[in-house]
Amino acid sequence: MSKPEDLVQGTLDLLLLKIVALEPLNGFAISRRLKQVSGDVLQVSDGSLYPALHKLQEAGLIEAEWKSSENNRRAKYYSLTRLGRRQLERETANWGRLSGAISRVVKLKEA
Amino acid sequence: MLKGKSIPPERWLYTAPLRLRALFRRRQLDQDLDEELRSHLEEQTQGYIELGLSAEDAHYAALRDFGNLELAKQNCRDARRVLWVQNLIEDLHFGLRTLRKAPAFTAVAMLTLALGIGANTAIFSVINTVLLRPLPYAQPERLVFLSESAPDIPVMFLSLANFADWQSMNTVFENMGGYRRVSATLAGQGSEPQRLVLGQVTSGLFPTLGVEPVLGHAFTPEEDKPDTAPVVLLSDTLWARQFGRDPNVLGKQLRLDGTWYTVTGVIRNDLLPLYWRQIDAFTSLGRLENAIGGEAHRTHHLGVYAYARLKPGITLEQARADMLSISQRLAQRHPQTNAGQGAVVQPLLQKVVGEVSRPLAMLMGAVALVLLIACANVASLLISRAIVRRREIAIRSALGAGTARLVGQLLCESTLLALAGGALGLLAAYCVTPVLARRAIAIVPRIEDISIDRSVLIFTFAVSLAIGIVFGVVPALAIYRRNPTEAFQETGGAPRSGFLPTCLRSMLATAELAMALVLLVGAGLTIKSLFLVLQTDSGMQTNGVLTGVLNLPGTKYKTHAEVDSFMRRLMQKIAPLPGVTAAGFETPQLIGGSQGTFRVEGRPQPQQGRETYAEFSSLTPGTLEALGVKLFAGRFFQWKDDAEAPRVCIIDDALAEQYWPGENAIGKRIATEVPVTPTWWRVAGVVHHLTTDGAAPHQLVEIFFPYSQFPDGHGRLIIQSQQGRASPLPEVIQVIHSLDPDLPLYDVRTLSDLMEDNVATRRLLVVLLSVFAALALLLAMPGVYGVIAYMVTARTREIGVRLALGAKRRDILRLVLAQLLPVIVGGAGLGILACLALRRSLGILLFHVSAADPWTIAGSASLLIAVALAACWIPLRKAMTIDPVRVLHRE
Repeated sequence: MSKPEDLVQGTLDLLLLKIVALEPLNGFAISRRLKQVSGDVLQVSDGSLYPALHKLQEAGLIEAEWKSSENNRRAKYYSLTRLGRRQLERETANWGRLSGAISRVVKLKEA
Repeated sequence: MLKGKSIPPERWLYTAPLRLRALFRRRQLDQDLDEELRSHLEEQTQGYIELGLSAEDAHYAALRDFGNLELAKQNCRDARRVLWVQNLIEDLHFGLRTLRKAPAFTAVAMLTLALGIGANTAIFSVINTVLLRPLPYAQPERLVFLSESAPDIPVMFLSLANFADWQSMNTVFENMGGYRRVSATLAGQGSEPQRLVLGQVTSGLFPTLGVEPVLGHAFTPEEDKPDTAPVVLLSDTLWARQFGRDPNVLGKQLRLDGTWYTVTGVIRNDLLPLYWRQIDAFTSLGRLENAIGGEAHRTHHLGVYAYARLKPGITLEQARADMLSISQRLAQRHPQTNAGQGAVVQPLLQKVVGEVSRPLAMLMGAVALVLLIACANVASLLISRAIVRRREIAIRSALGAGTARLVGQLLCESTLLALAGGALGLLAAYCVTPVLARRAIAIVPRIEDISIDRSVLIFTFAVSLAIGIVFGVVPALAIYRRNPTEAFQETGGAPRSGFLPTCLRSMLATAELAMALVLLVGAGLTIKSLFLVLQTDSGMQTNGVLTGVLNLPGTKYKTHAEVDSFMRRLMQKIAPLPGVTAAGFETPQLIGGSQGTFRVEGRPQPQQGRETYAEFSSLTPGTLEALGVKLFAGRFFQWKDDAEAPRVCIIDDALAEQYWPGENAIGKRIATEVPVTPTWWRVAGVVHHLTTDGAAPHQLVEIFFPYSQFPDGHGRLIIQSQQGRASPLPEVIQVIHSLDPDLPLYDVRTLSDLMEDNVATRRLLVVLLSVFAALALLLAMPGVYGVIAYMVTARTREIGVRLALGAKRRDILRLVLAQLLPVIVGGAGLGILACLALRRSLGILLFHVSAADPWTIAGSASLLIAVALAACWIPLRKAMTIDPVRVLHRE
C-alpha cells in the first residue's frame, strides 16, 4: 500500500476527475464544488488545487480551454479527455473495491 | 493510484505534444498560468465584496485563502515535467556565457584537450582501420593462413606435395588454395618488354576467399593439371593498362616469359590481400606440378603459402588438431622429408596485421597517457577556476540553488569544454591521419583504407563526454563545503587555498610528471634501440652501391649452362664500364633468401629434426667486392670457379667461429642437400657476417656458393660506382639490352634504400613516440607551473609578512621548494616505478637494449626534472622578489 500522502493525492485526483467529468468547469468552480461536496473533511487549499489540475492536464487526463465564464470573465475550463474517462472508470472501480474492503474490515466486530 | 502501471501505452500520444508545448511554448503557458490564477483570485475577491467587504480587504482575504501563490505557480510549472530540460538548457547557456567570459582559460583548456583527443582519435582510427575492421571477404573470421614449420623455423613455405596431401587428407576446411608470387616478363607487342608481378595460384584460392572474377571464370580444377593449355587471369589494372578495359578480352593471347597464355578472366585486385595488389596477372600453380610438385620435390619449399576457409562450426583449435594429426601421419609416411615438420594455422586477419598489432597497441597506450595528462591539466585549471568562483557559487547557494543544480552547472561547463576540445581534436585527426597513412603505407597493412568512420566518431564522442563528466566532478569536489558562509568570510585578494584543492592539484601534477616520464622513457628506449640497430655492422659498405633485379626467364634460358654463360658475358661487359668499381650478381636475393640444411665434415650427422640451417646464396665473382665485404681468410670467388672446377664456398665468420674456433677454416668441407644430396663444398674464404636487418632476432649463419656452380636466373645485380661520378646505370641498362633486348632491370634501388626498408617501421615508431613524449612533456609543464604559481599567489601576503619579520630569501626559497620538491620527486619516482612495471611489454619492441636500461631512465628523469624546474622558474622568481613593504601597504 502506498504512503498516506499518496492516498490523499490519489483521492484528490479521483475527485477532480469525477468533478470535471460531470461538466467542464474552471478552477474557481472546481474549488467551490470541492468544498461543497466534501465540506471540511478534505482540506484542499487552492494553492494545491491548481498544481493537481496541471498535473492531470500534463498527464493527458484532462484538457483545458479558454472560455467566458458566467460573469463574462475569460477563464480556463477543464474537461475530461478520453484517456481521463478510462482512467476515471478504472479508478472508480478500484476505489469501490478498496473502500468496500476497508469498511468491511472496520466494521468487524471484536470477537 | 494514478501513477504507473495501469496507464496504457498510447498515453504517449496524448502527453508527447504536451511535453513539446511545455518546452517550446513556455512563455505562453506561463502567461496562461498567471491569467488563470488571477481570474481565480478575482472571482474569489468578487465573492468577498458581495459579502460586504471592502475591495482591499476582499483582495487580501482572497490571497489568504489561496495560500502561497508563488509556490503554487512553481508547483504548476513543475507539473509540466520538463524542468530538467529547461535547467539543462539554462545551464548550457550559463556555461557558454562563463566560458566566453574567460577566453584565455577556455582556449588553453580546449587546445589541451584537442591535442590529447586528437592524438587518440588519430591512433584509434589507425587501429580501427588496421586491426578492428573485418577483412573484406564473406565471413572473414573463417579464413585462415597455412604455412609449414620445422624445428628451428616457426613459419616456412609449403612444399607443393605436402599441400596436395593436406588438401586431400583434411576434414576441417571447406576450401583451400595455395599461392606464390613470382615475376615474369610480358613480351612487348610492339613495345618495351614489361616486368609483371605474377600470382601463381591453385584453383581453390579464389573460391576460398569468395572472390569472383568480374569477367570470365576463375581457374577450374582441370586447369590445375600439368598438361593443360596455359591460361591467365588479368588483374583489372593490367586489363586497363594493356587492353583498355576491352570487354572482349577473353580468349586473347599474352606472351609471358616466352609462353603464350590465353586470357580466361579478369579479377579485381583491390579485393585481394594488400601485398597482392601489385599483382598484374594470375596463372595456375598446379600446372607446375612436374617442376616443383610431386614426390621428387617434397623437400622443396618454394615460396608457396596457402589460405583456407574453415567449415562452418569448426574452431581454430579443431583445425589445428586435424592438421597436427595430418603432419604426424605424413612424417610417418615420409620420414626422410617430413620428420619434425608441422602445419601452422593462423587466423588470416592476425597474419595480415600480426606484426603491427603490438606497436599499435603501444602507440595507443602512449596517446592514452598524453590524453590523461591533458585531462589532469584541464582538471587542475577547472579547480583553480572553481576556487576563484567559490564566492559566486556561495552566493548562488545562499540564494537557494541546490547542490545538485550547482554540480550540474559545473558539469555542463566541463562537458561543453570537453566536447569543443573533442571537435577540435577530431578536426586535427582528420588533417593528420592522411599524412600518417602516407608515411606508414609501406609498412602497415590496410592503412591505405584509413578513414574517420562511425566507430571513430563514436570513440571520440564517448571519450570527450567521459572527460567532461569525470573532470566536471573534480572541481565540484574541490569546492564542496557544507557551510557557504565560510566563503563570505574570506578577505579580498587571492582566495585562501583550502587543503583539499591544493592537495588535489599537487597530486594531479605528480601524476602528470609520472606519466610524462613513462612516455619519455618509452621514446628514449626506442630511440636508443633504433640507434643501436642502425649501428649494427651490416658487414657491407652501402655508399654508392646500386642494385636492380634481373630475371632470366626459364623458357629462354633453359639450362644452368645458358644462365651461367649469359651472366658471365654480362659481368664481363659491366665491369669495365666507366664509373663502375666492382659489380656482381647475387641470387636469389640480397643475402640469402633461401635457407637450407648443412653439415660439417668430421662432425656427427645431426639427428632427424635437429638439422642446422644456413642462409644460402650464389654469387658471381665481384659481388662481395662490390658490397665491400671484409675478407678474414682465404679468397673471394673467381671466374675459374666454374661448373667443372672443384666446388668451393665462402662462409661467414659466425659459421667459422661456431665449428672451427681458433682454427683455420680454409680447406674444411661442408655438405648441403642442394643442388643434389649431398653436395660437398670446400671452404675457400671466410668473410664478415652480412645482415640487412640489424634487428632480426636470430640470424642464421651464411654460406655463399660460386654462381657458376649453383646458378639461378633470378637475382639482384649489385654495382659499386665510383664516388663523385654520374651514375653508371644508363650504360648498365644499355649493356643488358645489348645482350637481351627483352630483359628488363627492375626494382632499381641503392643498397641503403634497400636496407632502410627494414628499419622503416622502427623509425616511424620512434618518430611517433617522440612526438607523443614531447607533447606529454609540454602538457605536464603547466601542471607543475600551476601548483607553484597558485601557491605563490595565495601566500604572497604570508611571504611578505615573513620577510618583514626578518625571514631570509633563503627561507622563502625553502618554503616554495617544500611544496615543489615532493611533486617533482614524487612524479619522477612514480614514473620510474611505472616504467619498471611496464618493462615486459616495452621490451617486446626493443632490440639490443633492456627495457630497464638505467641510462635511458636516468636521462629521461633528468630531462623531466630540468623541464619541471624550468616551468617553475617564473613563480619561483616572483616569490623571491616579493617586496614586503608593498605587500603590507596593500593590506
